[in-house]
Amino acid sequence: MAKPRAKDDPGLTVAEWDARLADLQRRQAETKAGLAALSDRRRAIALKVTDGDAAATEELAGLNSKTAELIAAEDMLSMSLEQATQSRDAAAKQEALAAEADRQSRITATCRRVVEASAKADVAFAALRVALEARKKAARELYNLDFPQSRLLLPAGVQRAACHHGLETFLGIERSLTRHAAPLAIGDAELLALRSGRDVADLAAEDAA
Amino acid sequence: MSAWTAEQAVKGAELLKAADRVDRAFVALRLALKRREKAARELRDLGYSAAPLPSKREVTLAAYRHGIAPLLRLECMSQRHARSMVAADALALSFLPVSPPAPSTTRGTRSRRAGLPEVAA
Repeated sequence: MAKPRAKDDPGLTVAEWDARLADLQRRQAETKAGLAALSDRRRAIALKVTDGDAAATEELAGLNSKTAELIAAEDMLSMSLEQATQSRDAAAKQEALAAEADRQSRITATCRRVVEASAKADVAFAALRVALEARKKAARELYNLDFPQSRLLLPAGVQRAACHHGLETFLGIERSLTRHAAPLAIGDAELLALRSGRDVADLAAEDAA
Repeated sequence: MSAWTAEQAVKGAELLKAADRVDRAFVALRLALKRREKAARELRDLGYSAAPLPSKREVTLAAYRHGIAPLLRLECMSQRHARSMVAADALALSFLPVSPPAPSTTRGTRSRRAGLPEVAA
């Protein structure tokens, strides 16, 4: 016989409560079927009992006591079912609350990641500005030193480099530039080599020396 | 083709160094923007409606804010609301990465009051 254990098992999950409810419902259905069978048998022997059949009278007494047992069992099962249903609902509520709390903490952590990434983007923007200004200054000074490679002063090379590094998807840069996209160091080295006719590696070696 | 003068060689090397730094900054920028995009997508998947979508306009405005737009010749309709990336996102999320420290009544150096580690003199 199932005992009401709703308060005894506060830690059960919704799935476990569902399994327990299904078991209780199955047992309740079996008890009802047993009661129906006993009722049929009572009707079948009712005439014999009326006629004073001693065996039938004895069987009827047994049927009655078994019926009383089954009715008590069904009452207990009904109570257990009711309490189990309440406990299952409470567990479902707890699980929903826990899931929402988990979602909130994940949202907070992800918000933090968004802001951290944005801060890194700002740092990269600042570094980019410093580097671009240094390059522009060097290109201007080179131009002033009778190095007539004015293409170094045009923003197209920088835009192509931005495209090469996949930034056209983030910044408002024309997509047509992606055809000739190249890193800025390569593009500038090519422009310098075109002008000087010397290998850029020599230039770097001289600088290192 | 004429040969390099010494001054031109120095300036050429400076130019290449700066160009290399620009390339590195571009890489760092793309990495940061990709991370931000990924996190923003995760926020949307979590059903957080205030998640800032990774929009070109916002990033371009941040480029304006950092003074990069003229160097890259970027085009944007309005620069009035140009903000840094972190300011724009924090505003959109109504979220601050670090909560301000509680005001302290005890005496001490400014960094100690702010809860920051003190730097040895």
